[in-house]
Amino acid sequence: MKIRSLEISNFRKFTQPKRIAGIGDGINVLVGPNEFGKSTLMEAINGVVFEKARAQSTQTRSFRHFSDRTTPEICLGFELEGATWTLRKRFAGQAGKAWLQKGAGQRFEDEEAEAELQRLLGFGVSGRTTEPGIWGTLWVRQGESFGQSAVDDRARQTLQGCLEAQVGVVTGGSRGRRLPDAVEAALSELTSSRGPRGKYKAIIERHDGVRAEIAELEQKRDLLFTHMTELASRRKDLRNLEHDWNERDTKAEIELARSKRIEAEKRAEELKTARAGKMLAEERANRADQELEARKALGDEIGPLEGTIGELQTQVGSAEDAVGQATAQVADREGKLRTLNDRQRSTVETGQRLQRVLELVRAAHEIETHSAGVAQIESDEAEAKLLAEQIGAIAATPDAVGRAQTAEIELTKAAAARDVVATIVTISLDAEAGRSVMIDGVPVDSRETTRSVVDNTVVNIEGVGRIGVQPQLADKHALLRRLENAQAARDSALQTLGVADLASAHSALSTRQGLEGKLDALRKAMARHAPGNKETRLAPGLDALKLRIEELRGRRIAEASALELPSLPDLAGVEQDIAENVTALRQLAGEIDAADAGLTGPNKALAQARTALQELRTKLASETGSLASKRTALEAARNQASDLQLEAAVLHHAELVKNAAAAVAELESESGETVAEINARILRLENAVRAYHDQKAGTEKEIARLAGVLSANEGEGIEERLAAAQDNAARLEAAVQELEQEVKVLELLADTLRTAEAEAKARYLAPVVSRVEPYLKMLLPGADLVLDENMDIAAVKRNGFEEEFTRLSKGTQEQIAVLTRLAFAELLLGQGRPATVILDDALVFSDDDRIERMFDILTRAADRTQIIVLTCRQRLFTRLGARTLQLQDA
Amino acid sequence: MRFIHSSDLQIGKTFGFFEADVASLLQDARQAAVGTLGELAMRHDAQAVLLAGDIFDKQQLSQITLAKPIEAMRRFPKVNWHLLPGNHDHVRDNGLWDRLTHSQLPANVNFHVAAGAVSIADDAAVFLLPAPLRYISSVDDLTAYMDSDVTPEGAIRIGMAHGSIQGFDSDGETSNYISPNRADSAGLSYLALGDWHRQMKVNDRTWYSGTPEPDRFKLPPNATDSRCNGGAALLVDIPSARATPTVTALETGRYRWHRVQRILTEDGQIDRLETDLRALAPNLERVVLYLEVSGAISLAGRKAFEDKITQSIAAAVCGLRLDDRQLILEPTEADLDEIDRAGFVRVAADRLKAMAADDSDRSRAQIAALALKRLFLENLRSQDRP
Repeated sequence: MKIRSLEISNFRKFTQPKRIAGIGDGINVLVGPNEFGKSTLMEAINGVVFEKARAQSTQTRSFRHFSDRTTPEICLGFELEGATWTLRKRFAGQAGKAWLQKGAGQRFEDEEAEAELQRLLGFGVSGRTTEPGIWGTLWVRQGESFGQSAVDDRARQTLQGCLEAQVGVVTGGSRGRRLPDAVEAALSELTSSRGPRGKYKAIIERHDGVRAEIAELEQKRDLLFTHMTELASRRKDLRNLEHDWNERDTKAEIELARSKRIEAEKRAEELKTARAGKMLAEERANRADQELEARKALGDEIGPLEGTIGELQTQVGSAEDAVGQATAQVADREGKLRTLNDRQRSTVETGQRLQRVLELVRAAHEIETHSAGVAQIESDEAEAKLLAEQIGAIAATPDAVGRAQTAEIELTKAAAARDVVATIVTISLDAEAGRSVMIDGVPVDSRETTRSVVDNTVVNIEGVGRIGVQPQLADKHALLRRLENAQAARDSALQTLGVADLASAHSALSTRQGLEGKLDALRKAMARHAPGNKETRLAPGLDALKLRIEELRGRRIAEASALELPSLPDLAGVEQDIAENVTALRQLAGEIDAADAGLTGPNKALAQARTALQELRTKLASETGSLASKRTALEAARNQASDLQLEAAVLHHAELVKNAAAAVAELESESGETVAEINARILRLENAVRAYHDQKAGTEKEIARLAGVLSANEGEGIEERLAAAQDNAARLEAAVQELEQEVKVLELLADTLRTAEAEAKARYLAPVVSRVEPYLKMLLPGADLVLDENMDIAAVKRNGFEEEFTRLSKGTQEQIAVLTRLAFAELLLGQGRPATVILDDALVFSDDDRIERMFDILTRAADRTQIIVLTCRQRLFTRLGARTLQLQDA
Repeated sequence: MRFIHSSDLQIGKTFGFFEADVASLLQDARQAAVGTLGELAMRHDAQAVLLAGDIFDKQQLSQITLAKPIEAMRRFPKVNWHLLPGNHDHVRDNGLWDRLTHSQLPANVNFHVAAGAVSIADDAAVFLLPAPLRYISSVDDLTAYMDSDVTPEGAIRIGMAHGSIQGFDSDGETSNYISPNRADSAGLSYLALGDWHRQMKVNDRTWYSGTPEPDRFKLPPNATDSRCNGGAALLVDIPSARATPTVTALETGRYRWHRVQRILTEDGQIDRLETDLRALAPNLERVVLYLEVSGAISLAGRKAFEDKITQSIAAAVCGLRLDDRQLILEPTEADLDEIDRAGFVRVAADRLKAMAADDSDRSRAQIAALALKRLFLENLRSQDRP
């Protein structure tokens, strides 16, 4: 179908018949600004094709003119399969009409026309709804050009018809879809991306559980059998133990050993006694020998000791002399030093007394100075008192005088204000007439009188009569009040000051200020007499000064009494004494240092001499004591036993030792088992009895324990449970293997189906893709289009990566959608069914570069496909270089 | 002297290769064998039942499992039960025999845990010479003592042992050998043997009774049908010490175990297989079946196999153990057309078929074949849906 002309009247905004003619092959552009009615024209094309003339739908009612509701009429001229067709419809509800005429010949009306149209263009109608099919895809309304290419089922069927005519039936139809779905569903029941699930997972887990149980049971069974073997072995042990043991013989053997032990013990006791006797004899012989030796040694020691003592006594005598000499020397030097020290002490005491005297003299001086100051201050104070009284008597302070002056100024101002408006009354009297003239009852006492009158005034001339003056003033009362107030204020101020006028007040103030100056000078003089002293901590002021004088007087009396001074010496004399005392002290200190140094040598010599003497005396005492004790000991020993007696005793004891040794040797020579040997045997035999009983008891206990364990466990039927668990494991393992295999089967099946399906789709969509491809290469070099089986654009593949269509920019989406439509149109053309592509305000999102490329693409496509572009952008679309359509009056 | 000879009850045995409910039925059947033997003894007027070893399957059984057969024996007070420890339930200190001895044993139940002749009849000179196992396996012939163990002249001597007869092709047991001439050398009227689950006569006086309830899918040598070993006991009648005993087989098994092997080469054979299986027994509920199928069938054939065999037959029998690992799927053009004649699903089916035929990767080929089967079934299912 190629559109050739469109004519409308009374359609929506267009009341007057309008016509677009001369729509050619290739690209046609209709340019119009917004609100021009481009979309209305698009609606008209859609309406005349897809809406029935008699339809009373909202859509057809909307065709009427906005205001006059006249009957809309549309006429479309088009070419189809080499013939020229005219389709005309009047949308008038029940009265609607449709005509379809082929060239100048065949003509269809109303329902026939509608049916023929439907047949020709291959769109569908179900009930009241029209399914525009491929035309809906190719005629792109404003705002629908981007996004998916709006392939509805009927359009898809049309396209699929075209495709299948080219590539044959490749899909499996609805059955083909159901099989992979069923397989995938079955597979997903058994596995997920995380591994086995559902029944499969449960069986694996049960299998694991049963295997763990088997391991546990096997361990238990093995333990049980080990216990059984152990029990049999222990019983055998017990039998062997009992068989090998003879209790009676063992006990008899122990008894025999015990009787043997008694004999052996007796023998051992005798030997022990003999040995003790021998040891005693030896001990005594030793002692006799030692005694004899000691006697000899003592006698030998006394002679040399006496010599040593004589020598020591001589040494002690000379040491005592040396000590005497050293002591005399030290005493002499110490005497001299003591004299020096006494002199120093006396000189220091003198110095201290002189200091006190000096302090006393100074205090007396200070008393005198302070007393003179006090007298001066007291005299000044009397004068100041007088001055203060005088000042107090004068009331004219600067403030009071100021106030009087201000009042005076106000009075002057008030009088001036009055005089400005007042009536001047001047009275000149003759000399004799003077007394008889009165103003307001007050006699005029001067010959020339001038009055400023603001109030009614009566001049009474005695014997003549009265003259009334009545100034006509509007604010006379205010003026008078101000004047009166000012006068009263001035009078009051002066009265306070106690003067008659302001000049007197100034004079009084001047007097007062003079007095105040004097008082101030006096105060400063008083302050100078008692300035205070930070060093002596004397506060400024008279009181502090007086207190200090009292304090000093007290101190002077006390010190004079303490120092026993009847009169005070003069200061210069005292200071001279002090200087001399200091010199004397310095000299004494030097002499004492020298004397101290001179004492060191003699002291050291004395100490050494004393030490030497002490050592000699100690030694002498020790040797003398030793000699005395030795003499005493020797004497005492000889009194007990003589030297001869000692020698005889030594010989006697040697004989006794010899006898005792012979007795021991005799006893030792007697043979026989020792007690220790017999004891060892008894111990061994007793241990054997004990060990046998212990071992027997232990074995019996172990047998009882094992039997207990076995009887506690045998009822469980470990092997039976194990067999059941093993059977269960075998069944579960078979089930796991079966499911494992099923998963493999389903995976292979799903994979094979998916691959085959993908390949089939690729083959099936190849014609569309191959038609889009040249255009896409012009738009996006190096890009490939991925369509899904529904002819929807799924993605664009660039550089090996697939970009999901809906993720692309709006502009790119729209451009690709337009390309796809061109490809669809070409697909139809390939089936001998040329189709028009209408783009209403499309490509609005394209940038400059892209729109140029799109123009190239449209131009290239226009070689085979009729394209109608409706746009509001004249300047831009001029570059498309297309045929321009005009909307003309019909 | 008339008695019943049985062995290898192996009570407590489990059947892991079956689902738990089936395994439970089979375990119950083993317990019930004692009652069956007792009833047969009563019916045939036998004084005793000799159980020649492996009465129990394991040493450590639960008290209940141990006590149940004893309680079943108590129900037949006129029958004397003589129990011999075998390799599964050999004698050991504090073992199951000790446990049973310490429990409340009925007077008619006797354990023979030590070798040596014992009189087992009050009114006649009948001696039992048991050869109990003290270990799982023993190198010595434990029946040897019977040759020298003297009994009163004219007494009936009955030997009872558990093990393999020397020189016979045994069930795989490699120890506990017993001399085949023991009955003669020891002057035994009868030697009751256990261990082999198949009933077998060694000589006139020496028999294996076999297990009273089958427990393995093992066919006897030169089997003519699919029935497996076990399920019978022996009724032994010894008129006198020197007489040859009369030995009669008695049916005891609750379930019959069958092992069927079949090669399928075309889909049509599946119906035949179903018919044959249904003819195994009048009451299929008492059949335990091991079906081994090999060969190759189409996807449609496989669907039929699953409908008729793995579902219908499996439901009809007590238990079905199926081994179809060698049954190869050979999808036909019709199978693939059934999936789809064109379109990507058909492309996928063709690819899976090629993969399944690729011998270079057997495990993948197997998965691919199963995937194709799944696709075939999913397609059928999807057609069932609206």
